Amino acid sequence: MNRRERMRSFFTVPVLLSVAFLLAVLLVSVFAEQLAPHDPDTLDPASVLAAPSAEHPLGTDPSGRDLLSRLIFGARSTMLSAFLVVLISAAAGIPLGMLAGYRRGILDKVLMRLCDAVLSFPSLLLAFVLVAAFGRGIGNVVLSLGILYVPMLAKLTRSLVLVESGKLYVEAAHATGFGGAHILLREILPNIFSTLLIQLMLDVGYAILDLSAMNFIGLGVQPPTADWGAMLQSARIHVKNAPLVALSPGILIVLTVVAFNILGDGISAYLDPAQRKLPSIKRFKKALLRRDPDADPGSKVLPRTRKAGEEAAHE
Amino acid sequence: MSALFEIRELSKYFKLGTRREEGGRNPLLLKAVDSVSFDVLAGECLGIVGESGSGKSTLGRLLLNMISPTSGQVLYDGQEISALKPESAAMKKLRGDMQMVFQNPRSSFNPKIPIVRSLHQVARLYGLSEEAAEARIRELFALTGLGQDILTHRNDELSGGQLQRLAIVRALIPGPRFLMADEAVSALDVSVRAQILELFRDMQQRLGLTVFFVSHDLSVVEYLCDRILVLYLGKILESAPADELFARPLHPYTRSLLAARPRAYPEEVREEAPLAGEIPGAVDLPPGCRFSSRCPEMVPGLCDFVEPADTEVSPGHKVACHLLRHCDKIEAGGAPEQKGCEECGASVGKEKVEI
Amino acid sequence: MSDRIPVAPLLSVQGLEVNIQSPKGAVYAVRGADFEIRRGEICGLVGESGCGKTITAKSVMRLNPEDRVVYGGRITYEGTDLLALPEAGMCKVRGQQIAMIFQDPLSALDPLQRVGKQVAEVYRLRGLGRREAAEKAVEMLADVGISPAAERARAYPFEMSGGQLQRVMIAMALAAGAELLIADEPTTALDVTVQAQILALIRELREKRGTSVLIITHDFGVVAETCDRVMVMYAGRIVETGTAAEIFHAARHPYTRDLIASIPQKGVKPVAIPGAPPDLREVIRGCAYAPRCCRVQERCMHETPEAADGAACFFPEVRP
Repeated sequence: MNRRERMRSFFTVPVLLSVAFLLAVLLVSVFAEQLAPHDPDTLDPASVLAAPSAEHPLGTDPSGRDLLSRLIFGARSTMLSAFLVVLISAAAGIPLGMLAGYRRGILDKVLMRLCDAVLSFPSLLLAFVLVAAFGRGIGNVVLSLGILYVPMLAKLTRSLVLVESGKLYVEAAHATGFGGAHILLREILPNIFSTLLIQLMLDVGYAILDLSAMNFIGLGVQPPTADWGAMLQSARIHVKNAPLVALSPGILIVLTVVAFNILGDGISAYLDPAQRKLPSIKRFKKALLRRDPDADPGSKVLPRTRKAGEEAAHE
Repeated sequence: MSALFEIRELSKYFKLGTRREEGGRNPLLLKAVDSVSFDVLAGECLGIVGESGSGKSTLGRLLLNMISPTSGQVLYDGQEISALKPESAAMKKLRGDMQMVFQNPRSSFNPKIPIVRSLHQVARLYGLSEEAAEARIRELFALTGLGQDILTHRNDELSGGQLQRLAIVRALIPGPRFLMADEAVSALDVSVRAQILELFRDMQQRLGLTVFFVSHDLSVVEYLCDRILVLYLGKILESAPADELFARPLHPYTRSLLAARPRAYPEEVREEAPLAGEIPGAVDLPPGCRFSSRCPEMVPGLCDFVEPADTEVSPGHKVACHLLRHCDKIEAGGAPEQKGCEECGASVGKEKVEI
Repeated sequence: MSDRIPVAPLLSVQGLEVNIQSPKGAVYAVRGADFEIRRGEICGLVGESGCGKTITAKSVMRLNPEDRVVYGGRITYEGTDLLALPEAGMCKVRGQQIAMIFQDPLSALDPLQRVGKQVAEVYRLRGLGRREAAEKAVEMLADVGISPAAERARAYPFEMSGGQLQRVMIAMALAAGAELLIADEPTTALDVTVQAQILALIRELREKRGTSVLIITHDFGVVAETCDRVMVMYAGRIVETGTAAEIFHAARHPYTRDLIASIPQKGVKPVAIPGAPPDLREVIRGCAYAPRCCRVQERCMHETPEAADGAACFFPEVRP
């Protein structure tokens, strides 16, 4: 299978939709100023919970702010903080996991028991504790969640490194005379990178969920900043009379998380040939029959080619 | 010939856990290599044969100081390398002198790194400039019979034979004096195996390499090696020059190994019945001779009580077996009977039993 | 073997072709293989890795993934075309008539069940009662040389050595009443001393029970040790067939001769075959061995030789 065919098998409909959606969200959050029709924070007491109109395409929220503009700026806040959470966890978790997995010994034992300790609590509960210690605010929420994501990532990295360390190429590098740093960074890392990348992708999704939860409770972004989680909170009492206001941030959160998950699965299927979809047996058979009859020794009997279990009468 | 490696009472035990016994807890030890001594002479090809679990791979890794021994010494050029830490800077300096080729060439290369790049990395590690590395790799390609066009192929497009040649190139880049081959032809196809064996012999002669060839295949070792050590459960049972070992195998285990070889031709007649049983684990070693539990000529009361010492039956031919200890025929330099010296063996046995 | 009375072969494979879909492209793994196995015969299928020998064996058992494989040709077992058989019918053939053992017996056995129970399970499938099946299983284990059988029957697979596990696999095949045993590299993972034991067991089976055996191997030593007849496979085709003695001493196909010459042997310098076997994803024109053959001529590059008098070669060695 050549590169083009591989790409084609990667871009299935769900993956294409997810990529398109995520790109849109990303672009929107980058160009929020240019795209938003209104300032997201301007209050308009005259039109509270207004229905969609030319002026306000999605209507207004309980404080009379333009809903579309708030969703657009909310995308920026949500995506940025989610990426930051993952970045913090990766910056700490991957190196720690690699060291623990490669060095083993006492360092490994201490680190892993620490991770177990953190993982034995419900993560949101620990996040509350950390935010309580650091103080409210989106910066502290991002930091707390970032720290809480470290153990899982460290454990994953460690187990991947453990598997790779047992492989022959690592021993070969050792026998050749390479040192630990070279082996870890230039031999092992390239082999575990793709799996880590997929995990980070999934983590972005989880981070969006957790951040929304924290913002929903009011620990994260403070009013009037637009954020999907916070918007969900402020509009939830109006879910009956203004469903769009209450539901739209929720729907966006769900869609983004699902899109990140589909993309992660897609990438792992692309990287692992065993998971790749092959053309159906019928198409395969047709392709075989088209094959050059002079080329292969046995192909003159090819018209008899059949799938096992078919009646001989079909020939 | 002088000794390149001197191995003195070398042991490697792996701790599997602890076991409660009378008088406290005792560690449960797997004795992979147990008090082994021999020399590797400069310029020779030394073969190590044994079944799986005999400790031959562990022995190879101890020689290269990739793992530290439990006790004993490995002297390289008179320097005690077993005292250095495997990851230490001093050891890394020596690694260029002693390189290794593995059983499975495909998995001994990093799947994510193009082979050209990994070869260049090795060259750079040993201080070669970009141009020098290029020249060295080209020279070694010519030497090992590889075409330059191979470097444009992806790793998974190369055949096992090509990859093993590349593995040999990688090992030769630092210009080693010593090459360890761990089952280096076992995973290759018959037709390719002969090519690689040929290459090993050629490299050894042309570059004056000392080769330590670990294998379970007696035919391969017979073809390639000057001297052979027979390993069983971490101990050397017999060591001899290759011709001598195949012409005059003295240890019952060596004889069984030779007898178990598949016939070369369908009508060849078997001389001995194949050995019964399988190699036991190296955890609970039987007292006395390690081979006594499977030995067809075991003398009760002797072999399962006293561990036999090495007997040098002729120059360079050492056997660790009670049955040969007091054999006059062998001491007189004569050829022993095919079945070993049953008379003397039995007499020794009786003596011991009477005591 | 001229004194043999001609009887219908137990298994006959005619023009077998196997095309497999893989993520790396279509593999034309078996390209028109013809051979047969007679009753009570030990046959060897020899070839290098990737020549299609394992796929041929798996096709006989129909063990290839059916949604990715297209077959051509015919596999006839006692008059039934196995390739035309529906899956339900194939299930009856597998085990009860043809059984297969593999290189790695540990992964072929259920790790969580005692081996005695796994053998007894086979008897239960044949309609025996629980107690009777257990007794038969112990007997069978004793028959294949596991001792003490009653005690070892209570062991789990991980507690047994490779050689013993291979014996258990053979016991299961025999318990099912298979008349044809396909052994795919049965001794490759074993030590020489154990290999000799297993091969002796296979020979003994033939003597005692008349089981036909197809041994798939890359090792000519195994062939010399056990086989009556040998088929040499190269690039998806059988290039030469003959008795073991013919193959070793008077091979006609250049590939067979070269292969035997490349085995390291006492006092003889092995001669390597240049080059490597072809990639079975690619189109092969002419004789597949032509690029490596020392007797190659113009004709070999364009035409594919059909098997004649045992060897598929235009210019075979003349037998003295």
